[in-house]
Amino acid sequence: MSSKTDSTHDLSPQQSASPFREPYNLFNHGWSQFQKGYQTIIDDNFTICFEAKTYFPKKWTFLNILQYILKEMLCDLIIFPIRFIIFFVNNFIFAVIFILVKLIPFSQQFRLKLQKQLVLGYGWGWLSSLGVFPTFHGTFPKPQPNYIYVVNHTCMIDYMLLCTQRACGSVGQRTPGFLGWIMKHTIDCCDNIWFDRSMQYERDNLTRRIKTRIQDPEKANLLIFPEGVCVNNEYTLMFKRGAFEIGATVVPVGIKYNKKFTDPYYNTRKVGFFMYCVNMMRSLGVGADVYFLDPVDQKEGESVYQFAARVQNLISDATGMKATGFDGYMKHYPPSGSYMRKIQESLGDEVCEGLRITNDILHSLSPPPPLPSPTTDEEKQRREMAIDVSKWLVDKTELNERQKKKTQKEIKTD
Amino acid sequence: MGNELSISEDEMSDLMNSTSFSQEEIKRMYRKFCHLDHDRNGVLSVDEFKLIPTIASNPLLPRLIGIFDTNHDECVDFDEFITGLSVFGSDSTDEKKLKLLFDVYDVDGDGFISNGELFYVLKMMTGANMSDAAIQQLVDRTILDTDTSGDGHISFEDFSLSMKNRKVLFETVVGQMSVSNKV
Repeated sequence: MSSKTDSTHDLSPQQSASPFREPYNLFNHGWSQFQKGYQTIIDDNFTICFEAKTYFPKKWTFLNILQYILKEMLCDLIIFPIRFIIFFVNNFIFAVIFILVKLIPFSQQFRLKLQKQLVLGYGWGWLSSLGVFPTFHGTFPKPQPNYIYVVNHTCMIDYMLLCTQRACGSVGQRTPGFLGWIMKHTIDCCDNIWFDRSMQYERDNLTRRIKTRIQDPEKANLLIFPEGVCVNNEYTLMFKRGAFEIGATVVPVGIKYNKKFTDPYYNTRKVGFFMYCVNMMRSLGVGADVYFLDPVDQKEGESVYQFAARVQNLISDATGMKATGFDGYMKHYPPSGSYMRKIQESLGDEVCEGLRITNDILHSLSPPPPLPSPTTDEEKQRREMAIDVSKWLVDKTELNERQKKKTQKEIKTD
Repeated sequence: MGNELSISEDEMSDLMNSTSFSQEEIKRMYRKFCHLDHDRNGVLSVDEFKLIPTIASNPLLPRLIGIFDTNHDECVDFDEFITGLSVFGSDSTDEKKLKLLFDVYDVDGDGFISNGELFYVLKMMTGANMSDAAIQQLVDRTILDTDTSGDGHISFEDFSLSMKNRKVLFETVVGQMSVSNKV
């Protein structure tokens, strides 16, 4: 993982450059973990990735109050009604047109072309109704086989922004309600891949579906939000490997919002999609900078995780966001034991290394110094078992090698 | 959350005397404390700590709470919370920071790291990835190395002496711990 990523996954010992320059010290182990825990209590870096900006002034002065009232009046009495009409008309008209296009017997190819053009207009309709003012840096690359578009995620506007440039499909969680209706009836020409996070079968199938989907040049560009959750546009979370392990060329796209008047971060816990739209419409507006970056390929000898981290850093650099190594999955589900086991595993490897060193030192001494006498029965038992430790160390090394080979094989066969 | 800020004048001056934090710092930490205290009962339980995802997956969580919880009642009140954090205060000494590291391993708080305690903490750190025998060997060697008085367990004097001998580590540990500007 790159040095830029402020990472909880960076489990290597602090002094990795000179591992345990003798004399070896056991108390080194776990210190980094302990310190991370302490640091989290002092300031919880994970939670602040999902905090929206607040717009109330810290002190209320007469000028502040006046400004606030004027702004609210302008927004609620003039801007909001206009935007709501656009919102309503846009959705109504396009819903009718989309249904008509489906019913009229055009040729399949023509219909698809028409639908893709319609999506562009529909996207602009959405942007103007929500008050988004986009600036595009660079151009959206043409659809090509085996290309995949990786975007940082803040809210649904990400998708609309890119849809105004070229119709594109996405991979995402199936959603009920108003948003679900749009997903199903209007943008289905883009061949989106919807799935259900909680269904294991669909998740397993996902990689295969994405793989076949991107081989077809007729289909719209496929966007992937590898963070998996909405982030507040100040940080990027760890990019999940899904988009990077299918062997496609990755086009990074960064989206940065100007949050001067409102925060477009979509907190699914607080409001539904419709209320979110209303809140956006009631604000002065939000600026959006979209950066299309150069396509990147996985380098030789680079692991999937390194590749994902590299793309994450590219996007973070372009947009000026801070890269973190947190797993967005933890936002929705309590961390599973497997994450803790991963930490324990790496600590175990560290300690093993330490044991190997003490063993080496021991063998170089003759005769070996006597051990302190055991004080409890338990200790006595363990001491007796300890005779076989050297053998266990060898076994452990072999096991690690075998596991490494196995995982490499798995990645290849995928 | 303005109405939750209810530290009385007396408490405040007591805390300021015992920890050397400024009034502003204590207020900030109190807000932090209230933020963590979800059921608003004035103490942080183990479950409340676990609500922070990155803490819940920390294998050393029991020790982390153990260090804060000086009266061993399984939860952390504001006094304990702020005393625990005072190690990171601006006038904290190297001695205090070393004591914190010592306390991580001194599970029962008797001022000595015994063979069993060291074993317990190492087991907690590595889970199923090390055999008991291997850990025991490492523990034995460490105690042998560190214990100068030859009584079979490590006292704080032994500990700080051995840490100061290992200069690289000492500087890493003590250097890393100055996070007071973040409080």
